Amino acid sequence: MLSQIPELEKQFTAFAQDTVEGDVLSDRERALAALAVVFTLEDATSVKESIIEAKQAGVTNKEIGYISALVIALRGKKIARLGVVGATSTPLRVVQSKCCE
Amino acid sequence: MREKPQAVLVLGLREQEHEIEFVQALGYSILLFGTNIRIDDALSADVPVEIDLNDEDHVIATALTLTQRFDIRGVYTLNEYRTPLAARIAAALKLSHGLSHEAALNCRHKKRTRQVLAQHAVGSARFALINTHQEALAALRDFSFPVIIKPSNEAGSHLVACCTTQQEVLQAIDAIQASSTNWVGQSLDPEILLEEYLDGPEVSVEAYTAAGHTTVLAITAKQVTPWPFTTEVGHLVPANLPDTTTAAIHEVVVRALSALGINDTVTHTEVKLTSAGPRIIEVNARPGGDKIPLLVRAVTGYDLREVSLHLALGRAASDLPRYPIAASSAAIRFLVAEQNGTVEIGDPEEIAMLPGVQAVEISVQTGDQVEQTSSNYNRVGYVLVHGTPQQSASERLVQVLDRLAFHVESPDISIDDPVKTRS
Repeated sequence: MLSQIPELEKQFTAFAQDTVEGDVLSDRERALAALAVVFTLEDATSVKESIIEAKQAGVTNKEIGYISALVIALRGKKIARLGVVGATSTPLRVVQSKCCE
Repeated sequence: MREKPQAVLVLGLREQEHEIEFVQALGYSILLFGTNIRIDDALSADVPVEIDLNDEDHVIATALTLTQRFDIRGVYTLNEYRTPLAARIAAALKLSHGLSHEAALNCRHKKRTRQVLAQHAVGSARFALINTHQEALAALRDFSFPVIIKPSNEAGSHLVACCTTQQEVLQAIDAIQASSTNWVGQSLDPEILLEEYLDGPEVSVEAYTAAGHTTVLAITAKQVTPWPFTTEVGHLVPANLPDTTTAAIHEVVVRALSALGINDTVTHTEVKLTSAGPRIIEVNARPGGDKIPLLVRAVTGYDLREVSLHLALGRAASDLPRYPIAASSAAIRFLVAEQNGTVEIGDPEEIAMLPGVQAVEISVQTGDQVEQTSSNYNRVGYVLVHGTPQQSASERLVQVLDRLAFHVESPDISIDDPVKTRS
């Protein structure tokens, strides 16, 4: 779809390439971060591709399992909080008198 | 300097053949190359590489890159389509053992098999290579019907036809030429084989060749559905043959493997027992499929898949892995639907309790609608049985199949039945 706007596509491609080839993270660290992202996407093909890249970068099965557990735990915590009275992701508004608005 | 880990490059997994487990058991790292790798296999491998296996130059370059991190000791495949690539990689890695590329091609391309066997006067089928209808019609003058038409570099009996008329020959050629690629996407050889039909019972010979010496481990009797479908219905190890026939089979197979340049590999050679003696149908430079390795393992103690790995690693034949012998005979029977219709079948769990039954896998149950089985790819299940000296695997299979009572009822459409005839 992005190809319908060639200028944006060009910018995106450059951005993605710079990010993927950047040296802020090592190959291994980048593979771990990518794994966490694809687990949240819940797309089997992306997960498989990411596992293959991670293993090529030396990530172990135990580390892959841990990333998966971490994603489950973080998402689980969020779901668990849904049932707690007063829990919210937006800041609570302080009820003040009209005179001070 | 730290030593590089020793690894085996595993190429193109075959379903349920456990290649990864065999390599893991020997303690090697696994470099798994495949066009489409499953998640569980990716997790099992040390380095999974998803790559187009038909782009052989790219595969070889990638394998060479991995030598910076690993000491690759062997290239292992059980996949018929990938035996030439495995041989090319082994050569590129300068491994001193393993099947040669020339020999792998001699087996993979059926026209080369026929040419080499003819040059060495090894019992095979008379053949002609054809590209067009005109060439086929000209070649037919030297043959009598029926004849076999088959592509040179396909497998699994795909696009193989037994023809009894000129019209059928031309249709079979059209069917092959309608495909530009084989099952795994490799270009189909434009030269098509037209062969004499070999009449007689079929067996396969499970052997290995190491240091130039061939050892036959087992001869497997086969049961095949009649033409037009050549679906394999059952296998029995050992085939019950007279000693003179066994000796003749050994002789022709050893000569064929020698002519084809086979070494450092397991072979699965299909043979027809004609009235003129055993004749080679084809030679596969890998273990047979269809659970034949399980039958051979039960009866001889040798697992052909492990023997194949052992030889790919350049290990000596005197040191082959071996298990205790589990049975005096072993057989598998596949369930085939002889027509379209509704399945009726007994309880598989009850069958699994019968004497000698080792495995039951059935993909249908009573009431299911099935299509007629047309190839090895749409059979509906199997039963694997071990025999004893007192009761052979064949005898036990008869009991099992009686109890299973599998059959397919044809759709009973009658004009007197208003429901069934309603459009």
